[in-house]
Amino acid sequence: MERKKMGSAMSGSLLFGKGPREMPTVVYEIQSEFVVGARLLGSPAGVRRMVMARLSPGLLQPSSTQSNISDTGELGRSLGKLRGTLGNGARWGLLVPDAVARINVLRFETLPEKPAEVEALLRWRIRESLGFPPEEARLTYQVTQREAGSIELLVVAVKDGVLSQYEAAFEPLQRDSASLILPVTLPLLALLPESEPAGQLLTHAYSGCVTHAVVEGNRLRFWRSRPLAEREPEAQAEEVLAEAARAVASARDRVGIQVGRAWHCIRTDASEALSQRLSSLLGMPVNSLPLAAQLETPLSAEEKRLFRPFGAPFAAIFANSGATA
Amino acid sequence: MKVTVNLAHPKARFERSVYFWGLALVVLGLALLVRILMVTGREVIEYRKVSRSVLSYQGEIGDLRNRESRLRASLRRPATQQLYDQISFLNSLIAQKQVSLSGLTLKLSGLLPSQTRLTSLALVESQGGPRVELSVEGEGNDSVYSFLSRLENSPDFDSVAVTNQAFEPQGPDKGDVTLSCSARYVGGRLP
Repeated sequence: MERKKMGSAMSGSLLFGKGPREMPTVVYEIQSEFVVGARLLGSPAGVRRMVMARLSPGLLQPSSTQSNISDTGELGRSLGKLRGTLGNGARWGLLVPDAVARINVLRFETLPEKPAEVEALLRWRIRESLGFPPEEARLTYQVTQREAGSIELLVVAVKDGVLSQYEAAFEPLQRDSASLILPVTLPLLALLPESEPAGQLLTHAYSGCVTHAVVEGNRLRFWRSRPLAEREPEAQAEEVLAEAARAVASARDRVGIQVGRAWHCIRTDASEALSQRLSSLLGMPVNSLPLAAQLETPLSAEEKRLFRPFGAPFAAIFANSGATA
Repeated sequence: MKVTVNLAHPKARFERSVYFWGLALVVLGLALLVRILMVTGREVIEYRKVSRSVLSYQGEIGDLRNRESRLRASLRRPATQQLYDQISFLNSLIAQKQVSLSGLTLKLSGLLPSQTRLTSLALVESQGGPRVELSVEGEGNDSVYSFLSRLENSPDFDSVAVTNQAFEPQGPDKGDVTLSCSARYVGGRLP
């Protein structure tokens, strides 16, 4: 799969496609309710340290267009506590809420040769869905399918000012800028088996948000992310179930994909019950995302308890980089 | 599905490099500025020293000029001016070798009888040439008249004129006669 980064000719900090040696050594995930960080070992693959901190309500409100962080200093202090445990990392990654990003799957008959022209074309194509001026978008894309007369791109766009807020919270902590920034659900797609012939549905519920993705082979066919309006676990579960039903219907009706296998990554209080109800709703087994058990081997018992609900994105980074346990 | 997209801004790393090198340049610039300030400070201190020295010398020059002014003023007083004129006259005569004061004194001494003595002598400039004004004192009239006669007959003097004669009637110098006269001195002229 080809990978392109827009807006710059520099690619020294690119992560994926270059093997475990290019994998970030420290990765942080920031969500509206918590921040969690992990120190990763490349070979053999494993999570060396893991730490989590709760955030004050209202401190972070994910949005693709508005200011996300009400107090960068407070967020920075919470991240500083994590860094005290994880240590510094010359290469470090950041996982942000899905609500920050706009994910688009675009098809073209052909693409211009020059990257600047491709960037201009993509900005023009996604301008309606952004909700902010396209010239303010930080853009990245990868080719997911290339056939005669048809090129399919996965395009990720984030308002530069919004992402800069997250980066600003790390400025007192990290000498270098992040080598990897992704919406948190995107790397989870690497945990889905590519050999599966049917469409695969991933339900990712976490920190007041639910994201559904439908993958066919190595192509992302459907993506939908929305905040959860309800706060009570039971009400949230109902909302996730309704959203899952909509995702399956949309994938079938709009993209023509029949979901044959379903996965979940539930990182809320209602995980177990929600898993069973998802199976009932979809009429098929819904499995938890497979996490390599060896990844958590270096962790202490307390950290292992943290890895089970929060470790999936870090395991996905190993899967994306090709590192093996 | 392997995901290879990445929203990390490679430019941020470049910007941080620029920031780092910019910071290094600022530090170097500050060091250079400090060095320049130190050198400038030393130059200023040196300049002030020289300036103070120049002011001191200017003060001394002022004092000297004041002294010069005072001296010039004293030289412009009538008595000094007269002395100066006389000295100038004598110097001019000496320069022209028209008169020799020692020669004049010698010639007058040669004219004095044994009972007379020269009590004053002055050489003044006049239109007709140098003029001698002198006084002699002798015991009685004979001695001073003898001197006057010798003076009138001397080839070195002419136009002899008696300007004053006094007789001492009493006291330890009783009988002494004082004669003041003037004569044109022609003995010093060059042939």
